[in-house]
Amino acid sequence: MNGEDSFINNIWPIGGGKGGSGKTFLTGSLGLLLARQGLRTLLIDADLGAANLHTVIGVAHPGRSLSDFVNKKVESLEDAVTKTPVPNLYFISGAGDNLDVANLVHTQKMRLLRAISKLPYEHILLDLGAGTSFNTIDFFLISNTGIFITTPEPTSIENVYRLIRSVYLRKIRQVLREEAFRELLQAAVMRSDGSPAKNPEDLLRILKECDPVQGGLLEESLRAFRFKLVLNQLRKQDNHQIGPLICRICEKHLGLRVHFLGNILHDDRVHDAVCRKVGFLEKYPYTQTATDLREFCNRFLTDREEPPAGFHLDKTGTATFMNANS
Amino acid sequence: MKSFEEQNYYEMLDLPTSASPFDIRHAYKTALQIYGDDSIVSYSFFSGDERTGVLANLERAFLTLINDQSRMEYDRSLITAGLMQENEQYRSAPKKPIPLFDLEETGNVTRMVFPHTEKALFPPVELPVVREIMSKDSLTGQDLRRIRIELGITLEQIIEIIKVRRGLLTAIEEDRCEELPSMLHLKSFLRAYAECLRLDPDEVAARYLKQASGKSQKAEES
Repeated sequence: MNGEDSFINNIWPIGGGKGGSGKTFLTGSLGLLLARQGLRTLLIDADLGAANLHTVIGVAHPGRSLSDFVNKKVESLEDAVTKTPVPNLYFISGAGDNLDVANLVHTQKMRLLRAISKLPYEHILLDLGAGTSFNTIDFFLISNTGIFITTPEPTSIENVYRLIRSVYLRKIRQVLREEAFRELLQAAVMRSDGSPAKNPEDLLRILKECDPVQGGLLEESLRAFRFKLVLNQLRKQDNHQIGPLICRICEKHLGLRVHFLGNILHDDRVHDAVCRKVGFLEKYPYTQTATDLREFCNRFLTDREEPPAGFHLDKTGTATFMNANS
Repeated sequence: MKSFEEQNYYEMLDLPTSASPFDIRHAYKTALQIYGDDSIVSYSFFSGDERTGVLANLERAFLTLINDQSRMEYDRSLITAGLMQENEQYRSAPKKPIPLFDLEETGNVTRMVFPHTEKALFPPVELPVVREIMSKDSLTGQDLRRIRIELGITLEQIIEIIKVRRGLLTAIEEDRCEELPSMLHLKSFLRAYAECLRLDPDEVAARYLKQASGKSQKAEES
């Protein structure tokens, strides 16, 4: 992936670390809402080896799939696109693959990422798998944006931090040359009396001390990320401020801009809709969860401008942004 | 990006340097929500030692800033280090009662405006009709109405400005003495009415009242 490709920002990787946090459901719902607004939207099931996005959006047996492209059965990635019942919504399945597609070789992956970044759609949503394998993280680095999903449970939050730090570390690795990165790791081991550096932010700090120019460049490329966060499956009794506070901790301690896009209320009817293989938004359009999803979509569309530097909770407890240039 | 330990106390608590003690308390409470031992927000984000360190820093920041004396000293050290401007300091202003009728703040006070018509651009006395009426000794309601219509001012415009109910104004214009209010009120209404027509208020009031009192005396005699 060269520098030019990474600036395309209509590609939205959606990941969350933990399984079952609602990545696939949210990808499907967001895609549907975007398509309804007349935006040409493509969903890609990049959960290689455990694909199931097709079930959520009601395409039971997608003809072509991502593995056809990986295995060069189809000439271009465009040929693997399936139409969905919804106008303007297109889909590349990850299903129906041979079982070894989960283990993409580096060259295959690079070819796939390049092909994705050239697809002519207004929004491309990538439904990523759980975990922090290189496959998942490299999809994240395809664009400077991305949506993290978490639920208000320690397990899920732990995994999302893990994912964010993995993306962070992978970015450092991508920017530095391989031997420079190894030197940096060694320097980190030396500093901390033999134990390897645990956090990527510590690595960055050490790099800045050793090589201020390189460190500054790296910091800037990390600041260029415009991540978003969604808090899914929020119960009524949960603290509604968790999302904004997670964004604040990332900003303050990792120097990453993460913008909060909203809470989505937990609803048992989501389970019901998935079981019946019908769209939740079509079957239950007047529930709070459906309203939350629509609001999330609107905020996603309007929130394209640069988020301000500081994050601030005002006295009423509502999260607002303020310009703190410190 | 500065690491947490390098930040000053205001930055640690995400506060502007002019924050009030109320803001400081609030910010510390929010910070504990994030960094507290059982906080879900920072779960797994820090190791045990890191968290203890962060909490100790926050506590030190809070205790320094919440005390006036220590805060002043800390501010002074920031100012000498060039990290803060003198005018960004917090100044406690004694609380004052909120004024009940704060006209400047509410801002929607309508001032008396003369209804702009083309004819009203010059003094109305120069119009022949007006001059003729004003040269008479007494002034009836009919005369006032004629002037008003000559100037192209509607009754509604006058009602809008002087805030008097319609019945009263028509009573004045139609000389219905029995419906007129007390002398004091009538006089002030007439003055306001005259001002709307850009006539001399004292003169109009005096002449009208003279005419009206003469009429009511006659009515009583008969």
